[in-house]
Amino acid sequence: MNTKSSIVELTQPGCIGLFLQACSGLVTAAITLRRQALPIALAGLCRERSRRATDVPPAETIEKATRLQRYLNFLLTEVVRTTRPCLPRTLALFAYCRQRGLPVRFHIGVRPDGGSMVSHSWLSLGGNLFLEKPTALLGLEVVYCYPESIELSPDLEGFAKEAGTVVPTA
Amino acid sequence: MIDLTCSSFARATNVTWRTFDGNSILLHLESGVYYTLNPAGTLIWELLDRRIAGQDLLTVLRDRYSVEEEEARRDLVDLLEEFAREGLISIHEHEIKYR
Repeated sequence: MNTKSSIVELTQPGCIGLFLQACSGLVTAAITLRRQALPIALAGLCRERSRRATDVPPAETIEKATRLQRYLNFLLTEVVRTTRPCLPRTLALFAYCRQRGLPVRFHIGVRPDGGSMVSHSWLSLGGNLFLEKPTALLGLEVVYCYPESIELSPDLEGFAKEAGTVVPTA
Repeated sequence: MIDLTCSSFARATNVTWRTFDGNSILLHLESGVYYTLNPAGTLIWELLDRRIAGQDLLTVLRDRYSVEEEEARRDLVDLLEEFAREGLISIHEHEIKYR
């Protein structure tokens, strides 16, 4: 998402609201992480609740989460210019999905890289990668998950498989 | 300075880790800081799975790497002090029993 295309996209209905949610999500994630341990931050961010009939349909949440991820990538890499965008992006997406009743899980993986190490964070839904490229996870061993396990309601299983195939462009 | 003869040690609960080919990567969940351990550090880290006396750690380290006791003691104290400084372990003083 380059600057020109982002400006064009933001003129479309509903996009500015989502863009502002991306901004506030990043600020919230940054403040929460600075103040709290990761498990407590995740528990606070998710404000988990069971899905109700009046909830936003999963397909709509997934579609918006895909766009939100693009905005988060843009903000983190083009505006903030961080070299490690995955953790704040994943936290902001985690909060967004959870608050809309989509039971995503948060993961951190690590792998050695020469004398150093590489870490990455991502989301899953029902055992499938959620808005994440499988290639980003090559060689990584999961070192932390939140929540530890999750039961997916039958109506969400189809969406989980569908979302697992989504490979957004950064 | 840590006294191995009258202290025991255990991992902190807010640390998670994975081992790769004998080396380990630790993640402290409160600070978000990662640490890497070489095989000797990994050996000690695995022994800290339950509360263990410093003297027992020293015995294992000395036997595994066939080093002089003084050298093993110095390296172990350095490592445990670093673990403690970073909040990766808890230290328990042994109870002193009086007659």
